[in-house]
Amino acid sequence: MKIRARPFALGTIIAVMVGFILMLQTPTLRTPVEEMREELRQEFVNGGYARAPSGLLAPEDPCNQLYQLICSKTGVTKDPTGTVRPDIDGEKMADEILEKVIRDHPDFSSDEAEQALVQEIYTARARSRIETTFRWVKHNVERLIESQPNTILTGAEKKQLRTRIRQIELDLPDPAKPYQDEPDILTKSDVFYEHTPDGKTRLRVGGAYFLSVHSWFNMVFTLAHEIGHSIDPCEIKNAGLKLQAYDRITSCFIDQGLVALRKDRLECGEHDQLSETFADWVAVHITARTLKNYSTEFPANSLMNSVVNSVRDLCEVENDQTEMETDFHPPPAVRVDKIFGRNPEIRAILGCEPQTALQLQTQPQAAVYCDFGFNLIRKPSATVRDKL
Amino acid sequence: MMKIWILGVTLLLTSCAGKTTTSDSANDAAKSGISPEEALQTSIDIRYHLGHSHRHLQMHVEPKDTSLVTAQITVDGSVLKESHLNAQRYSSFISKVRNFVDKRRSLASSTPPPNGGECHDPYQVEIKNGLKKDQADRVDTLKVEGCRIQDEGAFSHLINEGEFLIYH
Repeated sequence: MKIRARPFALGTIIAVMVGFILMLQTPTLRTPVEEMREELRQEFVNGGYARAPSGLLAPEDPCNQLYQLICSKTGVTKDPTGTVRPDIDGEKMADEILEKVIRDHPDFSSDEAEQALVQEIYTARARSRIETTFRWVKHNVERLIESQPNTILTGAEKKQLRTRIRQIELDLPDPAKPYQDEPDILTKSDVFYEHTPDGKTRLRVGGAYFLSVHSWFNMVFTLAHEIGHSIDPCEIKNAGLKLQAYDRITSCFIDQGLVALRKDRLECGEHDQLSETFADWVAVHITARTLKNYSTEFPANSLMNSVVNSVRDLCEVENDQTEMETDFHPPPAVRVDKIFGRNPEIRAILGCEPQTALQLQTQPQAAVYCDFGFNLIRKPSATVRDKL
Repeated sequence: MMKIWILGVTLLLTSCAGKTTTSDSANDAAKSGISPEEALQTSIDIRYHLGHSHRHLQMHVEPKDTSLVTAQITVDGSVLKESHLNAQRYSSFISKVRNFVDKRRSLASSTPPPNGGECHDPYQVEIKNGLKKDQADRVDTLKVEGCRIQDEGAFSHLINEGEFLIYH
């Protein structure tokens, strides 16, 4: 029996192995999301940056000292997809490139110098990376909306939000006509959302951003924040839409101290932080999902550096003494600790314990993470009403 | 015929947007009527938001050396660039800032809010004249606030020219 069984068993094993090898070699049918994820992997993780050494894990406790951990970083920080350096360093590099262009071509007009600058900075690779990330983020912001239960956002409301997200265009400069209506941003490190005079919405990317940021996680947070503006409460209000889910999440932001309650606060007025807090909230969701994808693949140090890189530039407003009165960004500590650090998925990635029922009772201000269903779960605390 | 041709070329050159050349600067200074002496009594202060950064471009006469104009660009409170300008180039830029402020002030009452109502990138431009100690009571301040996307690129071009002056 044993002798006769062996050739049969061996044949089966060989057949299974051959089948397995063939299966590995045959392209599998992927969903669009899997396709996009693979595209990103090719673009970023396998793009040469994966071999970049990771820095040492910071000694701070990420569960309780996230702001200190992230905002104490100086110089260049590396994660497996790339680096992040201070915004100002990128701008100095952009200006050096422009100076070199002018030095090498003293006959160039300012237009010609800017064209040369665009060709130098907005390379095919840089464009490809930002375009790929833009598509990924847009898709995931749509998913965030679609994933809400119909009791929170109705089908019609989801459609309105989805339309706004889909309308945004990524507007990179044409080398022949580099941002003719906004030439100053070619040397800036900012990415920003704006309405065009003809009613369209677009994201523009300053040239220095490509020099200071190579990390995919930073790009995801940055683009998600800007795309989040297309559906922020103030944009929705200005578009004449009224969504109950937005009233609930706004109430939560105020309740949790994520929007400053100034004496003269006018919702969506020039001093108000509501739209920026909402855009951060969207960005944190998308970044958390992106980080989660890699939480089992990256070693702990690399994952922590990815977390740091994703929101590191939120720290940079801290030292500003020249703030205009129209400050609408919450302070960095609020953005990092309360908006980013309280997200349950971020907490899970950092290995932090989820909030317990006891903490929910004893530390109500610290425990709640805002979402569209806020008021359906718990009422705003009395302390907020007192403040108001 | 020759005069017409020269006039045509001159008009063409002066209408070219975005060019920042020394001859342009000299022309602007002459056109605005701002002498280098007057320029040395004037300071410029421009603050604006772009994306998540707060930016500040300032130009003023050095108190210790009244023939020297100090220009500085800061981003989120950190100095990006500091340099000194000569009075002639400075006077040219002042005229451009004045023109910008005058135009924005005249349009302010008739300009509708930005599309969608919310201004993500506001700015504030201020010019002060009469900085000499004995003229302190005669300081004349021109100030305008606006939104980057509303002015068809005029603010962006102004910043671009100011930065070009500081860097090159």
